[in-house]
Amino acid sequence: MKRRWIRCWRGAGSAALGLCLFFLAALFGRVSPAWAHGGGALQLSNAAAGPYLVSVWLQSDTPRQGPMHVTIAVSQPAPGSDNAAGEPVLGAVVRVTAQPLPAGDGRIPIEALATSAEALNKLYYEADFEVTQTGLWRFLIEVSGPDGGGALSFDKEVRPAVSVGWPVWAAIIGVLALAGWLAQSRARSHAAPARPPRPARPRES
Amino acid sequence: MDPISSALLRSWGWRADVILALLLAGTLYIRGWRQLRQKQHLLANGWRLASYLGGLAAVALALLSPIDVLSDQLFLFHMVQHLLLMMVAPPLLWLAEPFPVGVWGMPASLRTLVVHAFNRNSRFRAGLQRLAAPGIVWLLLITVLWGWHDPQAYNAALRIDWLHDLEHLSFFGVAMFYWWQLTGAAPILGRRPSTLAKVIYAIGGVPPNMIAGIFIAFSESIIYTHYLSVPRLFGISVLYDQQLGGLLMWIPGSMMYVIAALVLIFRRLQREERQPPRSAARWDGGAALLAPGMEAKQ
Repeated sequence: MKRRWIRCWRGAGSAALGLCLFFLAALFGRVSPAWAHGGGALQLSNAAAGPYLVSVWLQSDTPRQGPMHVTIAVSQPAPGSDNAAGEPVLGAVVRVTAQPLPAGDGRIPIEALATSAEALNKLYYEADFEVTQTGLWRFLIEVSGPDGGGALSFDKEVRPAVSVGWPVWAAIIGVLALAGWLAQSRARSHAAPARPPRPARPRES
Repeated sequence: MDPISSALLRSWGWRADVILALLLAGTLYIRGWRQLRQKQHLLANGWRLASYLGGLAAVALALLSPIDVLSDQLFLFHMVQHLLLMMVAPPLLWLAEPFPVGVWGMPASLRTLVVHAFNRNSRFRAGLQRLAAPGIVWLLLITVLWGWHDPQAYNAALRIDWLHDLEHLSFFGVAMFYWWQLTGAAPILGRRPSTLAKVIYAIGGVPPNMIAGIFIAFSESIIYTHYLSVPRLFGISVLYDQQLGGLLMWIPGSMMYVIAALVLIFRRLQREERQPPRSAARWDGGAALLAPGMEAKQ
C-alpha cells in the first residue's frame, strides 16, 4: 500500500514538472511575434479594393481592448473571375486605420502599416496595434500596388479586456514547480528499504 | 527565382515550443546513444542515430518550414504536412529504439522514475498497454483522421491556432501508437504479436486513408471553404488543389502501410531462410511424402 502511494507521489511530481515545461513552452509560444498561421477570424473575403481582392482576418471574432493583430491577403482576381482570388500581390503598401465610432469627440484614429516583414507567411501583410477603448470601431484598409489602389472598411465591436497577465502565469508555474518539488521530496522521504520476507508460520499440528 | 517562390522560401516559422521539444528529444537521445556507444552496446549504431535525427527532421520540416505556411494556402501541402507527421516521422523515430536509448540519456533520478513507471506492476504501464491495444489504436486512427477532415473541424483548425496544434498533436500521437506496434520497438508491454497479426494491422491502416482520400478527391464541390479566401498559388484552382490533396492522401497515404506490410513479410522470410534446413532424412521418408508434417508425430 505504502509503495503504491510512493509511486503515485512520484507520478504526480513528474506530471507537475511536465506541466511546468508545457506552460513554459506555451509562454514562449505566446511571446513569438509572428502568429502561427497568420489566420484568425475572417472579416472580409475577397472584397474588391480597386483592382485587387482583399481578405482580412482579426485574431479573434470578438476582439477585446488591448493588442490587436490584423492579417491581410491581397490578390489579383483569378483569370475569368471577378470575385475569386488569384495570385498574391507582393510589394503593395497596405495601411490599416482603426477609428472609434462615432468619429470626432476626441476619439483619435490609430494608424498602422501592414507589412510582410514580421509576418510568418511572407505572402500576407500583418499589422499590430493597441485598441485603447471599447465600443464600435471602423477598420479602414487602404491598398496601393503596381496596378493601382483601393480601399475598403468594416465595423467591429470591441469588448472590454479580459486578460491573464504574466503574474498569473508566473504564479501557475510557481505553484506547479512547488507541487512537483514537494511530491518528489515526499516520495524520497517515504522510500523505505524493502522489508525482508515474512517467515512462514509453523503449522499447528 | 520568381518573387512568390522567394517569399515562400523565406516563410520559416521559428516556433519556440516546437524547437524546445525537438531539442529536448534530440539531446536525450544523443546523450543516451553516446553512453551506450561507450559501453559498445549494439543499440548505439550509426543508422539508428541517423533514423532518429531523420524523424526529428521530418517533424521540424512539417511544423517549422515553409510547408507549414503553404498548408494555409494549399490543401495539397496540408496533406504533405500530415503525411510527414503520420507516415514519415513516426516509423523513423521508432526504428531508432528511442525508449531504451533515451532512458540512458536521462539524469539518474528521472531515469529511476521512468523505469518505475514502466515497472511490470505499475498502473501507468497497465493503462498504456490498454491504450496501445491494436483495436483501440485503429479506432483512434479512424476517429482522428476522419474527425479532423470534417469540413467544420478542418476550417476551425485553420482559423484557430491552438486547434491546429491540437490537430497535429493528435495525428502525430495516434501515428506514434500505430507505428509502435508495427516496428515492434521497446518498450514491449504485452505479448509480441505474430508477423501475420502485424501484417493484418498494417493493411488495416489502408482503408481509413483510402476512403477519406477517395471521398475528397472525387468531390465535385469545394469541401474546405477556407481556401476560397486565400490567394491562389502556382495557378492551382481550389477544386484542383482539393483533388490533388485527396489523391495524395489516398495513394501515398495508403502506400506507406502496404510498404510496412511488405517489409514485415520480407523480414519474416529472411528469418526463415536463416534457420538451418531440416535434415534430408526427414523429408524423403515415406511418411513425410504421404503426409508432410505428420511424420514428426509418429
